[in-house]
Amino acid sequence: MNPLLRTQMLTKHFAGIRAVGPVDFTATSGEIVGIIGPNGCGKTTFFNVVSGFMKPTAGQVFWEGQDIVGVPAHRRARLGMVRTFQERMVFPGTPVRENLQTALIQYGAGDIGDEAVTAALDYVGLPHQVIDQMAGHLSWGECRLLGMALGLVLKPKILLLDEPFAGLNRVGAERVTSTLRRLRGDGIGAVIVEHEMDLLLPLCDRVVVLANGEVLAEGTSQEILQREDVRTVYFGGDPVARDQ
Amino acid sequence: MSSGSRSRLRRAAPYGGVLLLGLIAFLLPQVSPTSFVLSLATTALIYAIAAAGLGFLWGQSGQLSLAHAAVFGIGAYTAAVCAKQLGLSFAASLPISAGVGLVAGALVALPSLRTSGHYFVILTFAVSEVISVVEMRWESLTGGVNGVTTLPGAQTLFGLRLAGRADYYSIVVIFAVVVFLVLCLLMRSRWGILLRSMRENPDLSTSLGINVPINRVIVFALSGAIAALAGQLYLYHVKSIAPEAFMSNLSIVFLLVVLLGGKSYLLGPAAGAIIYVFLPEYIGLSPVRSQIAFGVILVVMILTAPDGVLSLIGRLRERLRGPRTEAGA
Repeated sequence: MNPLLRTQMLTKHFAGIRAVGPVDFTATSGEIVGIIGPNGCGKTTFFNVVSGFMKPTAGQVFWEGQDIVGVPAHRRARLGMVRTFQERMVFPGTPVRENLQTALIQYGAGDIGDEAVTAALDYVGLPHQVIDQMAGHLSWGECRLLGMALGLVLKPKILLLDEPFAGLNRVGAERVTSTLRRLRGDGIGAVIVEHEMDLLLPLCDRVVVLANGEVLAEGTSQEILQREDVRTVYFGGDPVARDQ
Repeated sequence: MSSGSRSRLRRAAPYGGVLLLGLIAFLLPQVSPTSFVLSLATTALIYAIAAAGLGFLWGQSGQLSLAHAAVFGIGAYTAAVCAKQLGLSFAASLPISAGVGLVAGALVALPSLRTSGHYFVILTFAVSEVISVVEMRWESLTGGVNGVTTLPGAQTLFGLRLAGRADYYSIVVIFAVVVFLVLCLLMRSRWGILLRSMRENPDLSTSLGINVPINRVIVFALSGAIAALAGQLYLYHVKSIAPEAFMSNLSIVFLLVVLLGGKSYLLGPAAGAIIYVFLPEYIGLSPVRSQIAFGVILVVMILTAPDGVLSLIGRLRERLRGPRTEAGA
């Protein structure tokens, strides 16, 4: 199957220091791809460059075969590539209803009434009672789910999720997991940057390991777990990796 | 009453509120017809219109501008040029003033395509200073430091005389009602929802496909058109204008007016303008003392009611209703 999203020699430098690259990467619809790596290995920077929030220093990003390096971030979202954020996941000063209405408007929905809003809440397993609450008053886990719902309302082809399990308790993590499994069933692809290996690896069709901004390894979760160099980078056997 | 009727009533309530307040304001000349009160009320309403544009910009999209007074001045000068040099009537000048304000507002917003936050606010201050200098130096158009005088003569609008104190007040009331109704419509529209999203989280808005910079320019342009409209109303109220009337301290006054009333409330700027204009007159404060008083009021407001005096009504209502449990937390 042709990849929906592909990067070729994608590189990002900050003041001459290489943060990412060169990275060749692919993702397609209905596939869950995990991106793992130690802190500072360039995972979020890679997300920022792919989603158009940062310009690459070199290399290309292809979407359905078209080079989209010059395409601004908001237009990439309209193409079907939607991303979430680690920290600022929602619109905190507006009610949950209005958060979801924003996404519904952007999707071009004719109906942005309560029925459409509650359908989005149902998809991620949030209770209907939160509809009138300020999004900033939700618990961390509820914010994560609402953030995912915002992206999903747009019916993306690929969702880029930045640490969706961070800070979640068991119940919250289970809700995120079941939502991600539903995504795959609905033919939506997901690229997930994550540190929580126990939660991420069982979900992934494929895992990419980044180290020092480059792809260290790529394969199924089982293959990745058996790689000695991955264990070294993650668990500190390699002094270079430990210093990152 | 069915839930559908209740919902329709709830949706119509803000428009009804604006119309009712407009009607009450319209009756003022019958209740207190003195020239002094009508002059103050006209000034308050003109400030309310100008500040409503700023309040919409700040409260809905989260953008702050220190060039609002400069655009207000551009509206006033455009109307003066239309009247004196082109011989246009008040009504014919209105779309021109608003159009020039629209363009000026959009131009002020252009730096926001490259910068944001505090740096952008400082840039708007710099733009405001540049406009003031242009107004002072472009003597052939603006009359320089001496300013320009425009007399309405025998012109009428809606059958009301522009030169009559009570009639002109009524004209300004009509404009205020129209502006507040339009802003109410926009606040409750789909675009209003997108603006508030941009205010809350520009990056997330972008990731949902909203073109944040373009929407910022549009909302600045709208705010500029409203400021310029208020500028024309101001010119025909005071008859004579000079550049010093539109310096950045007037932008601070507009900010104060918005903050006093509450930037998130449609009628916040109206409440703020009434307090700002009437309070010093009715407690007999000199200009210097009123500045000190408003400085103190501002500090107290920021510490105790940062959402403005209108937020106190909501707080009072909540207190009367008693404690509630938060559902679904």
